[in-house]
Order: sequence, then structure tokens, then C-alpha cells
Amino acid sequence: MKNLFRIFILIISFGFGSCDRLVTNIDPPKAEKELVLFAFLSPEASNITAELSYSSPVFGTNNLGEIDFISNAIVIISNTEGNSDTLKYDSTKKAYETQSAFKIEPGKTYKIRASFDGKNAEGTTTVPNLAVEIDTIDVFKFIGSEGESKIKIKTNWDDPGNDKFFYRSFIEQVNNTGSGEKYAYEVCSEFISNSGKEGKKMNSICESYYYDDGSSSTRTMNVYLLTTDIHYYEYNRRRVNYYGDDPFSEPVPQYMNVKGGLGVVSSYRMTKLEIRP
Amino acid sequence: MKNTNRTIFFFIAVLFWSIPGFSQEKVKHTISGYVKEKGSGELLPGASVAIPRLKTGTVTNNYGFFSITIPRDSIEILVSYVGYSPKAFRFNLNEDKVLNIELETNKNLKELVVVSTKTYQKISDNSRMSTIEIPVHQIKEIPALLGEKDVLKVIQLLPGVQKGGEGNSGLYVRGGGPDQNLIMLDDAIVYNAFHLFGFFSLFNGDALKSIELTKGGFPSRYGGRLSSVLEMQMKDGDKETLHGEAGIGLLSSRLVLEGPIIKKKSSFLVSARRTYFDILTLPFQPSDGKVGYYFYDLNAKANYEIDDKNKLFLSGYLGRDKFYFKSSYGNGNTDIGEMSWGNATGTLRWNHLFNGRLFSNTSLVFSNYDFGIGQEANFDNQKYKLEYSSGIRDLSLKYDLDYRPSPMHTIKAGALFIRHTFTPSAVVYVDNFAGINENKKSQIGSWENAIYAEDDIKIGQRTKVNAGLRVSHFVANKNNYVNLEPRVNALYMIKSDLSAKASYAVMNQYVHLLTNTGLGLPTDLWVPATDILKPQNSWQIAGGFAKDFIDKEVLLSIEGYYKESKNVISYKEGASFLEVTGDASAEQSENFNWEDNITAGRGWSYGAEFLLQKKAGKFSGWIGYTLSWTQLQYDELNFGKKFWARYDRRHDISLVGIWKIREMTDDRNGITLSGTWVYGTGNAITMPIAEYNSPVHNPGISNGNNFFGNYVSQYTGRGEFRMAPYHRMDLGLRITRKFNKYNRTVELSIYNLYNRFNPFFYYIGYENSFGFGTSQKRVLKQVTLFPLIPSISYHIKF
Repeated sequence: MKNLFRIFILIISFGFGSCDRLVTNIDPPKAEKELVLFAFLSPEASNITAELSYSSPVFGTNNLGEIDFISNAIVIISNTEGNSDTLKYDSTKKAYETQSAFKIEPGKTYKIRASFDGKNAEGTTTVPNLAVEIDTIDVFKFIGSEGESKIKIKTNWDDPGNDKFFYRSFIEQVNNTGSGEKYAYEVCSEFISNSGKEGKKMNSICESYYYDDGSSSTRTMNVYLLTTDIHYYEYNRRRVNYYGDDPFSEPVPQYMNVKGGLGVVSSYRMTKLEIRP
Repeated sequence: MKNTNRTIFFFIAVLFWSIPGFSQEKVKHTISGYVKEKGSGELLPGASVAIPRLKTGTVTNNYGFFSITIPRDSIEILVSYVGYSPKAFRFNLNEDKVLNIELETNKNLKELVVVSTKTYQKISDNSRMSTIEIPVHQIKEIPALLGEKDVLKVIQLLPGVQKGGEGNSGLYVRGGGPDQNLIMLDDAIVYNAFHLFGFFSLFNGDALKSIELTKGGFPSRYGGRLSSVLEMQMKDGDKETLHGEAGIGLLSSRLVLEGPIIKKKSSFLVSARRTYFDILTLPFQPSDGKVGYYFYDLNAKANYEIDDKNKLFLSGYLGRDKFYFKSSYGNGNTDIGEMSWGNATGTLRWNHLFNGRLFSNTSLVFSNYDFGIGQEANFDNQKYKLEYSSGIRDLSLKYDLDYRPSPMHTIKAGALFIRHTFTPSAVVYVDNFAGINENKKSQIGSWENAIYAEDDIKIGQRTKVNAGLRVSHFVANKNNYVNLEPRVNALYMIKSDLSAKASYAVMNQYVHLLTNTGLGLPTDLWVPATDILKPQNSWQIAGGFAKDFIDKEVLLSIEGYYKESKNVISYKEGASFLEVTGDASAEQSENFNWEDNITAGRGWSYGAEFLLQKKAGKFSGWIGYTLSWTQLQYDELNFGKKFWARYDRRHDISLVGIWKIREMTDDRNGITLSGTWVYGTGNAITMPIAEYNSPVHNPGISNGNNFFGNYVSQYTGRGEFRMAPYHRMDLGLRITRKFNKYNRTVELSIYNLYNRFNPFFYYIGYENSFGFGTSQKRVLKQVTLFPLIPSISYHIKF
């Protein structure tokens, strides 16, 4: 029906003999190439990873269609205690990773600074102290209105309530193949803050298709609860709502906390439960 | 609470101060009656009834009624109305007197008859400010796109009123959005006043008697919207003779017919318009596939004068737009789709005259707006059908009293009860193959009620105050809102033709319009205030000067205003009305929760307006200029920072001129030349300036390296990029000639005379329009809707 509506809009536009032309009476907005730095740090993550690339100004010749990764920048992570580590570029992952025993620890503040071609970009994050635990998970399987198998998963937890807390509930379905390999895909992701619910029981409800072919012994679901800093929450929450430019909706500007460039340096804690629906 | 009590006390004191009975006065008598058009009996609202020697007077109300109570004396009374020859009466007033007055239109006079007194109505002694009346005849004389006369597009030419974009009929009044305008046709609220996605409005002026726009200083009888009230009255119909008018243009044809039902007692008026693009293209379409679009309007009104004290009016509007396609594939296999939307209103009114001083009107009003989009396919005896619809339906009762105890007071009071029924979504989903047959409808009922009282008070010879209070009430689900809305307009006469004015008004709006674009799209959705989305609220102060150049019949108005609004709504970033209406499945439509996609914020608007207007005469028109600023702030938009509203317009200029080169006579053509020129600062929009890799973090094992990169846009700050200024000139030429009993008019008009390519929207394209890829230079491009467009139309009056 969305397409139907768009067809009607197009008929109208062409019906009125609309014409398009180059804009010459005003200058398009100008922008410089900027460093783009992303990092999502966590004590629960297997390593420290940061991604560095260049932005492409819209107007003028550009390398649209290919990310301009920067492989030979200096990327340093440091904490407020004076410890630091230089991250090395991994050409396979196209990201910078720590090569030492440098650790991300709860409650500590970290800065990542990237320098390249005279430009510097840096972002700071404080890792949440608490990794709020999943309390219970309720699972309900049912048949949808079109006869399809569906599943509803309710993840419950208690908000500690003594501060602002930002959460991400994330569920993925994992298919365990006979050869021991796992194939996983995202099922649900929800961003929730404890605003107005401080100290109360909180939950996230995920409803999805569930293909139950009788081989459920090889099918599991990973339920994650992330306790995030505000940068992680604000950035990812907006990012998942970005579908490109649409003349019928206002643009979604991305959240940023990187100074001297674009991007986000953020952190999270994570707890996980595996269920067999 | 103390402050609230003081406010109420203050207004009650102002309202009743010096009302007869509260003070001692000399023996007085009342002159009352109706002012009508000679011949047709059409009641004339807003006609001036003056008693020059006493330096006092009044104006007729919306039903042509006037009443003035003055001391017993020998008096001369002068009655005038724009476009009509004034009349004077002299008599000895020693008892209450009923005086029904008939005014003759200027054009009915022979050319050599000298009109001894000007018909000019002063603005400087009108206590209301920020109010503009538009003579209906000017609507017909101002050139229009494709010759389609359009009331809302003429209103866009007034200072303080801006349009949203090229060809769009939406009104942005003093920084408010199109949802904040109360558009009323014979007391019925019109919820979507647009045809063809806002390119044309419902009102072409054929059936209208009066049009009045109020931008601020709202009298307490008006409420329910923040920014403006556009009140339109339909003609009653000629009580003497049957006549009509027919017209044919490039886009549509129209017909107006009016005449007596019972001579001098009862009359009717019917006005219809329909486009015929679909009919003209029909022969060129294949037999197995049809695509079309049309819209139509139907206005009808009948009235009956029961006796001298009671009149009944029944009026209605019905209009609809429809796009459709039909495809046939043989063997009974078909695919049909359509999108349609329309308004229907009906008003039953009863005017009752208790006595010469007290007049009442009771209105029972129905209003409905609905939008629907759907598709039905039949293949191999299997049926697939998906229909989505939404709308709002009102049933209201309105009671208004008009009490004129003395020339010092015009008291109005009344009550309004509206039952709203909102249908945010109704879905019918049938799929025989999948065995689905669903019919789901969500409806929300609410009550919007109000009581009001206001008094137009004359204090001495120099000061007038219109003070009033409105108490508004809204209940939907379990949410109950009651608000006090104090209103004051004050005037001080500096000289007999120069006054200073000031006003203050508090407004509340209990219905919200969900709209992304403000284009007046049919998908815009009306929803009630809820516990999450509070009622919108604003207060506005305005001050200014009004000056009459009586000899030249020219008025000058300069006003400044400041308005603050809160709980104004907007879609959240990334949310789209397509989510409301365009979902692919019934289930998704059902799951859509509009409240989740809306955010509330604040607005600030301030500016100055200049109007120099000549309403009648050989040369008429106006010069309007607006200097304004409009900012918005939402916690959830633009990272909480203030931004310029899309329709923030620093400068807005409009020049309108109508030159009657020659009046029509029995043996000579009448020629009228008209032109408009408009200029407006470009809209404040958000533009992409760069693109960059922006990964969504995946904490699980479902992505190998935790990053899946793709591009997002980096934008200017919200509203930080200005589109190119808009300007355009239109010209119109009307040639009218008499043939026996008929007058025929040929009208030639040129829209966008100097072919200015005004931007409708911008997009990013490639310098070489056929190229794409990594080596192409990207540039800013624009889409222009209307280049120079000539049109011709033909009308015949019989």
C-alpha cells in the first residue's frame, strides 16, 4: 500500500509537468572531509575495537559506494589513570584492535584518540558500573493471524533505581548446524531508559516469527541485556531508525560525541541468557 | 488558585461594568432589524449602521442583524456595506423601531448616478485587531492557477499568513502550522480544506457570502485552535428571482443556481464543481486498464423565514477527491485500487429574535472527514482485498446570544458542545487464499465543550474594549481538561481616523493533526489530546496602529505580535505518515501506535505586519508585508536545541491590484485587469552535507566482527539551510459582455508570468543526469512544479 501511495504521488508530480534542474541561484551547503571514529567498549567484549574512516562530502566528486577506511592512523586508547595503548590496524576486520593486555573495566573512563593527516578526533566514555542481570524470561509460542508460528519473549529485570540507566534488550536466534557451526540472526532489539521507572521492575517484549520445524534441539535463542552509557544508547537508538532520506519524513541526525570529527565512542555492560523455546 | 480567581473577577467586572441596570441612564429606544441585499434578500453580515450625530454605531452580525439602543431624539441613521450604495434614514425616535434595510449593489446603479456617500468602512474604530475581511468579489478577480479561484490562496496573500510551498493552499498564520487554523463553513469545522494534495482548496468563492480571517486578539466566541480562525458564511440564495452562473475552465466546470422556493420567504442555493481530467483522458486509455483522478464540490443551502422573529437555515457541503486504477486481465481477473478522501458538513441553524435587543442562534452541526486507500484483486476466483481508512466525525450543538443593550455594549455569550469521533485506523483485510477475513477498527470518542461571554464596550468617546472569557473543556478516554481562556482587545482613538490597538489572547487546542509535511495531504490524521499528548496551548499579545484614509477609501494597519506555544506536536525524527497509512499488512497497521511516533515541544513566533488595503473602487487591492521569526524546540528533536521552523519566513511581501478599466454596460464590454506579485524568504530546511560509515553495534554472535557498516548522512543543523526565495507574478484579464439576459465573461490568466523556477523541493543529483557511479560529480538539483501556465475560462451568468 505504501507503493500504491507513492505511485499516486508520482502521477501527480508528473501530471503537473514538474521539471528538475540544477540549482544555480544558491550555493549548496559546504562540508570538509572529516575523521569518523566508532568504538563500543565493554568489559564483556572479547577485545577492544575502534573503526576509523573518512566522511565523504555530498557535493562534488567523491568515492560514494565504498567506505574510505583509514589504515595508517595513530589510534590510542587511554584511561584516566594514565594507562594507554596504541591500537593496531587489522586489515581483515578493517578496524583497530588492542594487541596488549589493556582491559576495559567497569566504572572507568576511557578516551580514544585518532590522528591522521593533521586531523585529530577523540571521544570519551565512562563504562557503566553495573551489568544489570536478567531476572526472568517469559516465552509464549502462538499461531499468528495468517497461520504462521510466532513467539513472544518477555525479558524481565529490576532497575537498580539509584541513577539514570539505559538499556538495550537484544535477542538473536541461533541455528546449530549438524557440523557444529552456528548460524545466528537478530530477532529483536529495543532501547529503553529507566526514566519514570526508577527502581521498578522493567521488561522488554519481543514478538517475532518462529520457524518451528520440530528440530528445536538444534535451535536456541540468546537473550542479552545491555546496560549502556548514554552515548551508546542515544547513538544506536537513532541509528536503527535511520532509513535514508525520505521526502515524507524529517531527517534523523545521528548522535555523536566525537570531538574534531564524527562518530561515537561509547561503552556498555552485558548479561546473557540462552533459552530453548 | 488566587490568581485564577482574580482573573475571573477581573473579566466579570469588565463584562458587566456600566451595563444598563448597573447604572442610571436616560430614556432610550432600540432600532433593530436586518440589512439585506436589494432584490435577492441576501442578508449582509458586517454592514455598518452609524448614527453620525451621536458619533456611535454598530455592525450587523453574521446573520445580517443589527440593534442599537440610543436616547429618544430625532436621528439620522446611515447604513453602508462594501460594494453597495449606502442608505440614509431620518426619523424621530420615540419608540422601539424595526428597520429592515435593503442595500443596492453598486453595479446595479446606472453609471451616471453619483454615489453621494462613500461605502468605506473604517478600521480605526473597530475594537478588534488582527482581523481581515476579504470581499468575496475580490476572490473572483484575483488571477489563479489554471483559473481555479481559491479562497485560501487569496488569504495566503495577506500579511501574517504564509504558504507552505509552491502551489500549496495550507495556511501558516503567525508561525502556526496548518493544523492550528479553525476553518469554519457555516459553523461547521472543515478538517481537510484541500483538493489534490493541497494544490487547490475546497472553497472557490462561488457559494460564499463573507470571509473573515482572525490572526490574533481572538474574541472569546472563537476557540479550539491556536493560530487563526477563518470563518466563511455561505450565501443564502436569492429570494426574488431564479438565476445562476456556469463556468468552464481547463481543470473544472462549475454551476451555481439560486432562487426563491417561496418568494420573499424562502430560497435556495446550489453550487457544484467537478474536474474532468479523468473523462478527457478516457478515450486514450486501453480498454483493459484505466487510471484516473477527479474531485468535486457540492454546496447547498436553503432558508426559510418563518416570521419576523424566526429564520431557519439548512446548509451543507460535500466534496471528495478520488484516484483510481482498474486493470482487467481476462477470465474475470481484475485488480482495482483507489485512494479517496472527502469532507461532508451539514448545518441547521435557527435564528430567533427575542426582542429588538436580544438575538439568538442555535446551530446543529455535522462534520465528517475521511480518508481511504485500498486495493482489491480477483485472480482465479481468489479474492485479495486490503483497505485502510481513517477520519474524524463531529456532531455539535452551538448556542449563541447577541445582546445589544446600548451603543456602549455588544454582549455575546454562548455554549458549544462537540462530540468528536476519531478513527485513527480501520482496516479490512480479506485474503481467500490465506483464509483471512479481518475487519478491525479503532475509534476514540471525545467531548469538546466551551462556554463564553464577551462584551464590546465603549468607554467614553475614545476607548473601546472587547473583553471576554472562554472556559473550554475536553474529555477523551479518562483525560479531563478544563482551561480558562481570557481574551482582551483594546482600542484608543488618537484621532478620528487613527487608533492604537492592543490585544491579549490565550488559546487551547484539543485536537492534534499528525502531519509530516504540512502539505495538506489527505493522510494527515486528526487525533485527540491524551494523557501523553497534552492539549496545545498558546498566548499571544499584539499591538499596533490603524489608520483610515477616508477620502481615498484606504486603510493602513501596522501590527506587532509575540506568541508562545507549548505542547505543539511533531513527528519524531525518522517517523513518517507512511507508517500510519502505508503499511504493507493489516497487522502492521493495527500495531502502529501514533503516540509512539509523536513528540511535543514549544514554539515562539514574533514579528510585524503591514497592510495597506483598498477594498473597493476602480482600483482596489492591497500591499502586505510581514517580517517574522518562528522557532521551535522539542526535547526529542535536533538534540533538544531550538531550530527555525520550516515555514519561518523573514520577509513576506504581497502586492495585489485589481483595476476595473471599464464597467460593463448594455453596449460595452467590461474590462478588469488584475495582478499579484509575491515574494517570500526560502523555507528553512535540513540538508545532507556529507555521508559516512556508521555501524549499528551488534552485541551478539550474529555478526562476525560486530560491525556492519553502511552510509548515513551528515546534515546541517535542523532548518539551517535556506531554500532560494520564492517569488512569482500572476496576471488576469476579465472581459465581461452582456448578451440579452446573459452576462458572459472570458477570463485569461497567466500564472508565473516571468517563468520563475521556484523550488518545490531539492534533491542531490548528478551533474550529468544520465550518469551515475563513483566518478560523477554530485550537485544540488530542484524540482519546480509550475512554470509559466496560461489558462482561459469562460463563465456565463443567467
